[in-house]
Amino acid sequence: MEEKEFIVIDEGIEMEEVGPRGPCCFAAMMIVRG
Amino acid sequence: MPPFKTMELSRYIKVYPYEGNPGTKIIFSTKKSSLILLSEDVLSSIKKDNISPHYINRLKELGIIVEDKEEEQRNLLNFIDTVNSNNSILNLTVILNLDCNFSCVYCYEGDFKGRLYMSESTADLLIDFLEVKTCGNITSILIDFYGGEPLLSKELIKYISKEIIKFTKEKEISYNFSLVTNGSLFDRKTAQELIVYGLDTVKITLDGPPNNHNKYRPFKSGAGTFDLLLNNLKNTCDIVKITLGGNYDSGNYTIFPQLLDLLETEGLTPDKINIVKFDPIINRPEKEIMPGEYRKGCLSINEPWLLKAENYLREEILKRKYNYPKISPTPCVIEINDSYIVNYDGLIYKCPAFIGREEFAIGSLQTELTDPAPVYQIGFWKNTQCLNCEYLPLCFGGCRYIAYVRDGKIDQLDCRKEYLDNSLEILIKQDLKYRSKAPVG
Repeated sequence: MEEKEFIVIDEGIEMEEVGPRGPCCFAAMMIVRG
Repeated sequence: MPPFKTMELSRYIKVYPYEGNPGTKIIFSTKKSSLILLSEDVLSSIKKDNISPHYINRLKELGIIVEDKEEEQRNLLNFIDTVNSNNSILNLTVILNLDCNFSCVYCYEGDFKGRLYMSESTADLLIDFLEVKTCGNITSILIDFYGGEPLLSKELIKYISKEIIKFTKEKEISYNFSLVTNGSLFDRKTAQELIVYGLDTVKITLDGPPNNHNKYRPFKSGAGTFDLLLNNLKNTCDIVKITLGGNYDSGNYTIFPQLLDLLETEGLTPDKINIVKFDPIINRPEKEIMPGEYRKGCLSINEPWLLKAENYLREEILKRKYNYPKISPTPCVIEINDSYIVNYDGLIYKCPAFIGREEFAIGSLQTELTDPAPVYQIGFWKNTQCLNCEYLPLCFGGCRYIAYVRDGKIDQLDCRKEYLDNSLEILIKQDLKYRSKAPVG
């Protein structure tokens, strides 16, 4: 039943995994430098 | 009466049709970055508050349903505070110099560049600063060495790292560093030399296939750099993690997949490169661009060509099985308490894009730091418009630098709703197609 009605593709992340790396502005820096 | 505790759909989810099975919906939580396929029957039972207890805990864990939407919104106000209290990494971006052997047509450091190098006495102050900041729940130090070209200051990287290793060993905390380098000086010998000092990741940029790259990222002499960089990548990819970037504009993004094909032909297969990500070039602020200078980049994430370009390039990268960063909550580095940008002269900023603009400095290695909140508009996303937006966890008000380029100040949002309204569904479906085993129609 569950397999048909509800399939988890990605569990997502825990709060502890949301870190200071890779935010959008940092990416913006990476955009223009390299 | 509902059969179990009252639950409702989270404010921070998106529901999309699933062509693989018309009776099923794709649900993505922007807060949790979870992705599920849910039958329309179950979705309808959630909406009617008649959900089977069988599903409740699981859907709660996945961030799809909540007990109280108002409370969820209040919790999101504290999201970045929670990230900050959980964070155990002291992260510094250190600009070692503003000198470079390249002459990239779009370099945003523009007029700030020159033969300007961090001195050994400033490096000593940096080491003292790090030692003082290594307290509380900090368990690791991560430095991104940056420039200019950081490898023009290779001896200083070794000096700084050696001193950091001394005190981190005593305190039993870890130390690693990355390089954001143009790659021209990053040969195997240099990589081996720096690994001993904690080198972990290298970010190198190739602007598409050779002809385009050599036009956009030449040596100062005008000579091409592509062949040298490709060789350096091939000679180092087995000993360091490589992040490969590429900067495109509206006129050249369609040829970037040629680079991916070339990488594969040259043996730089997906298992050899940690991440591949191409990004649009952002123009320098209009008032700072001199006549004749490059201005083909973008000024806003909402420019229509950008949507097409990002979707196209992401698909081409995933299709070839290269790793691309996941869509997940992305708090701005400015709002992370234990994150600092140190310029070569010792001035401290909160975002690398603002270096050299002294009104954005929050102090120096020699002075007390001031509160960054008023300078950087910290928490500017804590308004009704953002809190009611389902994309808030992916955006948090957007990029201050883009707002600065657009308005000359950073008190207004860089709202990404229009962009995400038009792109997120496509990106999520790409993930379903290339990153899951779900049947896709």
